[in-house]
Amino acid sequence: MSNLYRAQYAYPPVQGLKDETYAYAFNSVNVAALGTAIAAGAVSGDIYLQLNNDFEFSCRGVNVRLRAASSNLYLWIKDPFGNYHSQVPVPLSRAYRATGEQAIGHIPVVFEPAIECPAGGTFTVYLYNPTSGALTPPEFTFFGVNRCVVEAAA
Amino acid sequence: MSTLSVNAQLAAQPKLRQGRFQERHQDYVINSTIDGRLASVAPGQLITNIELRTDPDAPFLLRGRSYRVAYDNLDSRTQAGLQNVSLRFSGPNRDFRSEQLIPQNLLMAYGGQSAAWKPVYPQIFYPASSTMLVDVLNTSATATLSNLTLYFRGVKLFPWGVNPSYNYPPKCAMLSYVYPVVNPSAVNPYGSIQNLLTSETRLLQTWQNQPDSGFVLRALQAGPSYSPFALEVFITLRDENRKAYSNQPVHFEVLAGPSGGNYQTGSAGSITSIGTGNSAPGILYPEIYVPPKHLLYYDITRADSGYAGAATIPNFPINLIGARVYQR
Repeated sequence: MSNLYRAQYAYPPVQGLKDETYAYAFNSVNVAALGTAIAAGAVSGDIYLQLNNDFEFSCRGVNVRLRAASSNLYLWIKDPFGNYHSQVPVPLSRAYRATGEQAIGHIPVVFEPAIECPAGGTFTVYLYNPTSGALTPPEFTFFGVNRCVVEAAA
Repeated sequence: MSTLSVNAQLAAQPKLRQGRFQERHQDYVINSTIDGRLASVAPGQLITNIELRTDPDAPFLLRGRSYRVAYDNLDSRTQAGLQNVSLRFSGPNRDFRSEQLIPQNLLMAYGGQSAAWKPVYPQIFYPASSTMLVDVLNTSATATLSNLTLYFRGVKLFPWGVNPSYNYPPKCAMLSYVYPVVNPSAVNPYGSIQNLLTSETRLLQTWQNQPDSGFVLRALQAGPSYSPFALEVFITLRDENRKAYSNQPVHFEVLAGPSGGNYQTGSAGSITSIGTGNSAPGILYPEIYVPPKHLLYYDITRADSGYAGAATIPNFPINLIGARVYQR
């Protein structure tokens, strides 16, 4: 127990770099595995979500959007350094599903602290369907900032 | 994972690090166990002088409020009559904070449930063993309030040293993380509470942290998102000394959110909770720091046997949301 308070996103830009807001979206258009329904009781593992190779990316939140009204999938996220962000797959709707997606837009779930991703890094996600029917995979949007090089004016 | 010199930040905020008192998360509950008249509040009934006596161990700072009634049935999962509650409550000196009873649906959405607490600002100080008075009125002409429950959230104030005061290592790396409340095993690979009967109480269940890192618990999410659903399930969270963070069990949708039910808004309408959920989970303040290999305890109680069609829940998840803390 502590009385610690630290404002979220209290991350100054790295010296010599500047932060630019950036987001990555992954869905069935750019990741084929996210377009394939997951059978009852099945696991869809090693779904790779690759980042661009131009800048480091400081990931500060994720928005997991479901195309169905709700989903009962379990989700396991592994960041580009191989760190899992939960002990086992956890219910998507009780950890990562975006808030208010049906009515007022999508409010992302915050990563605190942020995940510092190398250029060209890859998130890996695993989806488990515990129900008795097939379920459609969700769409992922990662929010954060690109660590851009500050260039001298021409 | 990011490396932070937490103490360096704390050093810049000495008042936060070494406040005069150590805050400890606390929920006070007024339910039919505290005052039997709340089990059933008839239409038009006024109940006065409901007493909540704060614990003798520490003063209490009230910072948030919530209330709920029991769900009506499994099919509609609606808290019938929730919009008909008017109340007023007092400070520690019988000093009511409103002269009249205030319709609570004008003050807070969803009764402050689904982790959408109604802030109390400025906070109200209650000395140890002091008494809060509450008056409640059911303004409906037809609907009876079943198991009306009032929640008061805040912090207790302890002198430093009374409770464990674990904190971050001088230098550490942190990783945002979610633990299921049950340590996974071959027979329970996803770490949920398995086979929760329609009427069952499990006391002093344990969750043990991993040996390689601390864990800072900041928020909770709980409950199955698919059938069979849970209606009246209550959780008591306890620290490693089994000292509870509430005086009575707290409904899981109040403590953790999100809510899977409906809230009655008028004589005929009802809505689901909007804008609550994973982005705004049930936050514990102050956060609870669990050192490596240390324990948290919890009790879980389900009282759904009175609902037609209620069934054993094969997997009832509780997610402990926070960050792993690695010493560097």
